[in-house]
Amino acid sequence: MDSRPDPPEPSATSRAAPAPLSGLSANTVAEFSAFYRRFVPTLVGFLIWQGVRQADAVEIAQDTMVIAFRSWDRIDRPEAWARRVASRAYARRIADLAEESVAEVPEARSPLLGSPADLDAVIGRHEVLRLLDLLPPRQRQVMAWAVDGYTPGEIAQELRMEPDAVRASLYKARRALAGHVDPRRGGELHD
Amino acid sequence: MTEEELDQKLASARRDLIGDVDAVLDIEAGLRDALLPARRDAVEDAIRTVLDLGSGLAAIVPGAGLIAGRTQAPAAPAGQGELEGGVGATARLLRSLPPADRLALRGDPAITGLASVLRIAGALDFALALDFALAHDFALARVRVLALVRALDLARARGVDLACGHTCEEALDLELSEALDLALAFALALARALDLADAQDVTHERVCGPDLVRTLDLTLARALDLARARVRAHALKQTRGLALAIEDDLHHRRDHADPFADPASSLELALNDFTETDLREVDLVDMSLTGIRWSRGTQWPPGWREQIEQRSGEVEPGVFEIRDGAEHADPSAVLMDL
Repeated sequence: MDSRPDPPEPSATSRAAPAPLSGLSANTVAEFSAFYRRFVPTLVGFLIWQGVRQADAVEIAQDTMVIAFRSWDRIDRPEAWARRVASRAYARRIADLAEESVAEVPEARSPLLGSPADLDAVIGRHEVLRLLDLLPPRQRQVMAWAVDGYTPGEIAQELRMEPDAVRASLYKARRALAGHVDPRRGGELHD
Repeated sequence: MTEEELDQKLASARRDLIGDVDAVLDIEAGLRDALLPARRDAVEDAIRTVLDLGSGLAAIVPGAGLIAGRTQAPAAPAGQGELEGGVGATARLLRSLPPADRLALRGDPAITGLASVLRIAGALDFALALDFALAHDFALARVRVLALVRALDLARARGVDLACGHTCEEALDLELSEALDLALAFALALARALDLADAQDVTHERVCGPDLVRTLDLTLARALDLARARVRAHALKQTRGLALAIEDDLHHRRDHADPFADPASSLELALNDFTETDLREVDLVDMSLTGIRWSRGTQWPPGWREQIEQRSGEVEPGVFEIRDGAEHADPSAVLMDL
């Protein structure tokens, strides 16, 4: 587990005035670029799995990557770091929206997503996302980590929960989802 | 369904989702956005190498370049030292004259003409220094820019070779190539701006995006401003030659043992400084008094002091200067006017 302090979360920094970069090497750029290309779709999927609105998921993923690039030399396990920072950014975004419930939510835009309609179509094709909608937020969040290969102990550390609480959430989530697997359709997930 | 089977189904659904998400995301556009800070710094560094910040600062803050020691003031033109020495002698001569004679000479056309010429000459000397500094900086900038163009061409060629031989460094080469392209385009634009300013022919081609165009336009505008400043300085330099010719003419027409020339301020001080001077015996009627400086120790003819004080302003601690309107004053008339 990466025990060092987290770099600032995306929402806590201004993209308009990025911190000055120093000591950037060619290797840093190359390593980060490879990580970005490989991991961004996974991170967007991870956020969508948790129930993040698709446009927000893309924007949070991109913001997280911007912060990752600035802090690249200080990140040991970039995948776990990115999931953690993106999750907290989403939590902060939810809190901000709750505080400003009357404010109009601006349409999220990211260079990552040329056509939001394309992503909407993807979401519509995946039945599992509609099933996940049936879960309470915490169970859905724990499931997102679990399906990405994290153990209950690791999830507990990442989400600052008790391991037993993680196991309980996973148990309830699996039980709820299992009721929507249709053996007559080859075990296909259905609503 | 067992827990394992469910997890397999979920893992499969996750893989499918990520695959579909991957298909609709513009990963390269996102990567370019994330790398923007690095690209911005690379471009900024490249721009910094081609900008002559010292000259830019000097164009805004006159003399900044000279203070920083980046440019050297030109040597004084031939004869300038003699000129200054001559004016110093004139000022000394004026100071040696009795106050009444000195006051009378203040309105002498030759003296006022000499003072005017010296003021013009001083301004033109500054313009000449600016002209020299600009010429020096333009020549230096051209050398730097042309060297940069060659270096960037070479670096870009090496970058292409690297990309062909090491695909794992593709990202690096992409960024390097783009940064080099921007820097190269900038350098070429600056070279053109310098050529325009100096009327010399160096031609290059460039292809750049809208943002770079704006940057280049700013650079070009700056170069054109410098070019205009240089033209003005050149014109002033020519005018200075004319002014010196006028001064020479005045010099020959004056019947003084010592030739004219010296800083204008020295001459003006000799003409206007009547601090701590006894003027009680001087007839001030019909005499031009505007610009005269006096102090509490200056002694005036009877009936003048109060009027002088009312028409003067303090220009330095304890030093006063008579404002316009006190010349040709008759004490009785002044008293009536006031």
